Amino acid sequence: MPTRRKTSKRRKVARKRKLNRGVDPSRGLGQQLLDTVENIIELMDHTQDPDRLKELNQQRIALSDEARRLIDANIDASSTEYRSATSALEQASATIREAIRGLESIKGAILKGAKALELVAKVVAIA
Amino acid sequence: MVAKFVPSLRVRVLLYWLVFLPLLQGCGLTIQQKAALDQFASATRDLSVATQTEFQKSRQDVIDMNRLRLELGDSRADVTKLDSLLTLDRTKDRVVALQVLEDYGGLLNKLVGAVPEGELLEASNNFVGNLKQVKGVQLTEQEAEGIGRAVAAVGGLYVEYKRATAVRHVVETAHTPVLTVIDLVKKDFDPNSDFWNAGYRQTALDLRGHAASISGSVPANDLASKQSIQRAKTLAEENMNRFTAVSSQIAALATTLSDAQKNLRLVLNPSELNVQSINQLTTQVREFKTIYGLLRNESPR
Repeated sequence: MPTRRKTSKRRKVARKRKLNRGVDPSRGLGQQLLDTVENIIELMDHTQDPDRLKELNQQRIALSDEARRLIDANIDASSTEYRSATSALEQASATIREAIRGLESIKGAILKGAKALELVAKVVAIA
Repeated sequence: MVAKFVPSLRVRVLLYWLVFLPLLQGCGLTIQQKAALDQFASATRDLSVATQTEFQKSRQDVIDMNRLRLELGDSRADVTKLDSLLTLDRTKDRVVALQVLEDYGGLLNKLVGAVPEGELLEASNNFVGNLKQVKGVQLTEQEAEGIGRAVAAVGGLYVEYKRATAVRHVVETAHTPVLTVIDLVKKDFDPNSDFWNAGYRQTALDLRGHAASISGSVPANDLASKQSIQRAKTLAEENMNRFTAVSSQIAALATTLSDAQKNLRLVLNPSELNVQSINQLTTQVREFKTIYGLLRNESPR
């Protein structure tokens, strides 16, 4: 029995899928390199030929080094961003501490008034 | 001669204005605003505790995995850089940022609870108690209580006004750095980004890759080496699975905190349209239509 041939439309879709495979714009280049490294390791797990294994391992190391370079630069840059945000938040916390002191000073003012009245009472009593 | 202290009508009117005018202006924080502040403080605490632990734990995992690479003879592993990529300085930058964020949330909550009404009433009672001691001042219990309440109320309103002003100012100023820290945490734990997650994954794959590269060259009777290789593969996989699970939890907490910050800013800013103000506006429009209908002698539609 002859096998059915794919229609022209289906062939086009299949070709498009193949071209797009592995390309995810929301995924970082470093993660994409690591995806490939992971695929190579899967192949290595199933390879018996020592030459082929050596070749795959060299590819793995080359890609891994490239990914490392990218990731290292990114983590370094974000560390700088963390430090800047920390400094801004520390300033906000200092403002809050000052505001709390300000609120407590209102209670302090009433208590100072009470203390002044106590002194007045003593002075009047002596007079 | 003993003079009786009786507040004049002018003083009473002044006291009433002092008490009620700021209330009419709505200077203090509402229950909804205080709840939003409380929610924010809880969310910062939750995110901070979980994330600080994970930054430290993931660095330790990287050290352990790199140590195992050395044991297995991986020449690319460096004994002087066991925490490679997730270094101590980088971990410290992140942990400090989260501690400061937690501190900020806690202080904001403290600002809401600072100098409660009871403390002011106590201070004003002290004030009135001493006033009664002054020779020549005679106050009935009712008058003393009235003055005490008035002092506490005026002080309280001033406190509430100052508190609300400070909270609004601080939340507005800190909005960008708070969202920056949350965004950085999200990026670090995002499995698609090239940040902390990628650094961790890189180490796990280096360990697994090296184990795969030497597994073929180990003699069949060298059971100890085979066991070490299997242990390396298992450790890399287990660590990566655990890290992936924790990352998704941290990402969810970061989203909660981001929402809490945005909600806080929204409810604190009276000019912003939120659900409450929309409801209020709807009621006002309905009332206006009713009044307008009565005035124009038309039945409301």
